[in-house]
Amino acid sequence: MLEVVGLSSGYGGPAVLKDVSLHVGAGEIVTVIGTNGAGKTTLLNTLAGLLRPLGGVVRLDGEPISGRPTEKIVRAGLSLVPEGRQVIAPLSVEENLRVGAYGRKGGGSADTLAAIYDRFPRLKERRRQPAGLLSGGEQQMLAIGRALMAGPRVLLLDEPSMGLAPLIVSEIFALLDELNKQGLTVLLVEQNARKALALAKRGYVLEGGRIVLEGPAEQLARSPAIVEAYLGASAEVAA
Amino acid sequence: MLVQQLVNGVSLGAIYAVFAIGFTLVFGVMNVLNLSQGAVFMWGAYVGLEVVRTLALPLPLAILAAATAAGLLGVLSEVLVFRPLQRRGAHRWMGMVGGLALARILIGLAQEIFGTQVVRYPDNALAGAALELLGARLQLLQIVAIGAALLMVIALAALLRYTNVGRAIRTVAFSENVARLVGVPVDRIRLMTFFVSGALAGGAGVLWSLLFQSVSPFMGDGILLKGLTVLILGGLGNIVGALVGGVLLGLVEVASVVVVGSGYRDAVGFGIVLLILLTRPTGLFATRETTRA
Repeated sequence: MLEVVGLSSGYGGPAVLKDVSLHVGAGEIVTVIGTNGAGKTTLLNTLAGLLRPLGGVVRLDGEPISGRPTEKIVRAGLSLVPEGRQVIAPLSVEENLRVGAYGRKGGGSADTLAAIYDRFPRLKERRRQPAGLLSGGEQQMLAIGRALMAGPRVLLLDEPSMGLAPLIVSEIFALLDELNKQGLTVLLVEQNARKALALAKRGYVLEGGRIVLEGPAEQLARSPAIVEAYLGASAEVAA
Repeated sequence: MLVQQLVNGVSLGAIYAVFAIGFTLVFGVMNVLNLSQGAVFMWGAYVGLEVVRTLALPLPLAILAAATAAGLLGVLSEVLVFRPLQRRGAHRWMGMVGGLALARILIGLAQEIFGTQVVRYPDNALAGAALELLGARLQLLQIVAIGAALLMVIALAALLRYTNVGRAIRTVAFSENVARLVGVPVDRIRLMTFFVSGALAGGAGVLWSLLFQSVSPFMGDGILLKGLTVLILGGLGNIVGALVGGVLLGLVEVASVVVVGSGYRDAVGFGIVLLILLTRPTGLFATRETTRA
């Protein structure tokens, strides 16, 4: 469904992302893990069209979308939940959700809104409050809800666990699992490798802007290189 | 006497407010201080004048034509100046210089086309008609100015608050990238914002020329400074603040003419603004995030 071939990208200087290829099949949930500065956010921002690729191609259902403006990519069915959530602080919760449907092709946004409120009663309770007053976990739920309002077929998430308590992180990952089981294709970028690999079917490891490893998630989770670099000693202490 | 001055002050202030609201809208949404706004105001006045004089159309149509033409000039300023600068990652100061440059070009063009002498709108019912109220003489024009200012503020506030486009504009004000991610065509929204802002300036230009019975290529410079004053007074990017700030400046100016004489009008006006800012550095209405455009 989502196919990335030889993608390079950056911010005007030397390429941050170098020759990255990956694919996400329809209904799949795939993760890209990597440390800070590995190029994870650059990858997602390029897929979403916020950055212009220096080379390579991104296809959605066979259709090339790379180089298109972001709002067209959203209309084509790919939505990004950005790093740090980026809820629109001065707008109310409901306004955040409704502006999320701005790029929606066709109807159905009222149904999506009702479904989001069903799933997150807290958002419904606080729908008239400015989004900036929500807790971090609620803001993450809102950011995901806002992306869903566009009616995407592929959802990209940039470190949804960032800065959140473990309990909230588990809740968000449970939600992603649920959304995926309902048929949504998910590409999850995470620093929290343990949780991401537990959720995803397949994974890629991004290092210095390149894919250095890929495979089924359980296999990656057991790979000595991954255990050392990403799951590391601290994880063992925690376990 | 008091009622008369009150009406004079509020109607003058209403025109300041209309101008300043366009100014503050572009600032609040795009963080751009558009210094060509005064020249756009002047062009609005000339377009209105030409429509009245050469086409002999009634005044409301002239205001509409002026607002449309000025709105297009606003669009032009985005396309020619602000968008190219932003694409090149220019600092915001460069946008200010670019706006000033555009203003000089527009003023030069006006001098070439309309000449440098001060002209005025022909006598018309709107400026001539008056009614007596509590011993004060209210020009119909003053009532129209006040009504138009209120109407525009209410319409703009409703647009921003209750429509899809309004939500999109406020999302762009928050972050252009976030707006893109929810599918908002940011370039188009910016153009619309510049159009609305220019149209408000053009409408204000016609009202101002009617009130002061003068149109000249240089009439935009004074209002630009006053618009800046109101922008700061009302809180940057705050639309309701611009309305209240504009009316306040109008009242202060009229009061100072009565109390200390017309030579000190601007000195008193700007002096009071300075005093207010010394005590409330963020403006009268500290921009709460929720009320920002």
